Amino acid sequence: MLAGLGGDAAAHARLLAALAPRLRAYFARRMGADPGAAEDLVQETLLAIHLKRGLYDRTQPLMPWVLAIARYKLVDAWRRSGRRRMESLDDGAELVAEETADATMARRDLGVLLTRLPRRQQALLRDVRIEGLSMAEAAERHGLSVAAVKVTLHRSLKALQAMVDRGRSPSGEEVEP
Amino acid sequence: MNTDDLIALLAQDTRPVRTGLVLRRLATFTAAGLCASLLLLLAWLPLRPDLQTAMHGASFWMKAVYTLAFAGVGGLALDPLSRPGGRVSMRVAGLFALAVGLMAGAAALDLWGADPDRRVARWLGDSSEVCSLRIVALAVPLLIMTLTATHSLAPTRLRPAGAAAGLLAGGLSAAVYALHCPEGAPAFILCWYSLGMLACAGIGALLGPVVLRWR
Repeated sequence: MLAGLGGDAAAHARLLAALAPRLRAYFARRMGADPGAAEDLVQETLLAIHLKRGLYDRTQPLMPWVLAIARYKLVDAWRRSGRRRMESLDDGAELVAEETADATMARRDLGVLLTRLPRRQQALLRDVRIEGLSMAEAAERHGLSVAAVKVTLHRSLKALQAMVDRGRSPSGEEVEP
Repeated sequence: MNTDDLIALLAQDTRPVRTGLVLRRLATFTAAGLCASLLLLLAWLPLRPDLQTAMHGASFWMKAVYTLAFAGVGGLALDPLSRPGGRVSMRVAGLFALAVGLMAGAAALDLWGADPDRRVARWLGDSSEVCSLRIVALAVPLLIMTLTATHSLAPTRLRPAGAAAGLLAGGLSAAVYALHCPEGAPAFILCWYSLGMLACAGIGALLGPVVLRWR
């Protein structure tokens, strides 16, 4: 965590990768019937850990901090799902097919949300993430400075989070970015 | 997008993080709210006419220290409560008890020494009906700013965080109000000032779960 706060991307990735299975276990135990929703929460929590990492007090142990975010996200999800259940009763809800849990099963597919970002952010995310370009290569291709690429990337992530927040994801739709 | 992709994406966004974000954010927003509250006082109520001489007296500073102690308790509690899983140190509660205890002691001594016929007047003063309400009114801009700052961070216990934001706002607002209010009896301050400041904390606690929710 500390190395990640210092800007070490590899250490940051290792931390998030190490936390993911623990979060998956945590949410799976509490959202038992709905593995897709549990994976959504894993992703939301990782996103929050990432975006709020500046609030981590370096003198405190890490896991209570992570657990506090996870618990907060869980309570938040319960609140929302209570509301959604009410709505779906009105709609005459369709039955949801059985799901098995793994890392690819997030129901609120962030990939779908990605397609709603401004085109330039999308292109950048695709190049950096899918084609695996480095920051410098992506910067060159888009005619931006490396700093601008980083800023754009950061904005895209924030926008992504805002979309998760507004719950605009259509469930059931399957689109690959 | 699967979770591993998300992690890789987030790792691309790794930039060094500056320390002291919480303190910086709370301090700037609170300072802005304090300015707004001061302007509101100047537009609304006259400064106490004897402000120059009162600043040489003990009762003015007793009031200032008492209200700022409440603000300090709110601020010291708000810092950890603005972060996930933050715990408030027992020392903060100790500071609160100390401030109230000293003021209660001063009020008891003052009433003891006062003429029995004057005791009620020492307690009610001339403005007991408006004092607490005015402190709450002056706290509105401050409360907006402290709650906004807290919302932009990541509180996970929203009611205590709201109460701390309210106490910070109320303490500063009471300190601002003291520039107008000429009352100086400890019993008056103990009762009406505390009531106003605690009402602000209560409003914060009520609003917290509604307005502090972040994603």
